[in-house]
Amino acid sequence: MKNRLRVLRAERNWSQADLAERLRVSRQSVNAIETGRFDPSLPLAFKLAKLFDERIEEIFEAESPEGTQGQ
Amino acid sequence: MYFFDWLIAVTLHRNRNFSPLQRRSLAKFGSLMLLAVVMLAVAHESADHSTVAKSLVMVLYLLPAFPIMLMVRVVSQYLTRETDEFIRLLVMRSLLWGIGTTMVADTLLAAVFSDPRALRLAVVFNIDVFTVTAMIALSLQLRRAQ
Repeated sequence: MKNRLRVLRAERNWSQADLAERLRVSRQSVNAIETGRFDPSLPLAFKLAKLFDERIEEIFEAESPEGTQGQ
Repeated sequence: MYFFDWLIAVTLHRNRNFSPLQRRSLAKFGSLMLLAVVMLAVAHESADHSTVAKSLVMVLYLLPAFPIMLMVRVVSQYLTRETDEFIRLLVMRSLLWGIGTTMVADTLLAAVFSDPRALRLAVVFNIDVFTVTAMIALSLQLRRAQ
């Protein structure tokens, strides 16, 4: 799953550690989500959306091989 | 082998990547593992002496089940209290590596040794292989996640 976490974080001048502290997770988790190695659960995705004041679908984008999203 | 266990436990305990919850759980798990190994060693020694009653030897072999069950409880409590879902995933993966490697080691041990005495020792060997593999797997995964 693609996401805009790195961009959103950079806009606020937050380090991965800052974001991790706000989310109450480890810095490794933030790194894993940013690099797409780990997809967060729905509660964590909601937490991120609330923190950045965006909707979940504005932060995360599902990857589909045919480029047909939402099917 | 036990020195190797101890060395890994100390290294991991000093690992700055570990949270206080992880350190506490690791300390509890390590202590229980040591207790189980000592109890198994006592049972094994007793089995070698003909003066010890067979029923007592059987009881001594059953007793290590308690620290082993408590080890499972420590892991279960840790997984319940761990709020970081990514770290929880890494721990689960490490435990699976530990279980898988122990099963492979057991299969190899059963194929090589047919002596019941050697198979009795396999219980101690199992705890050791499981713990060492799971610890190494967790350490490597945490390093990769940096």
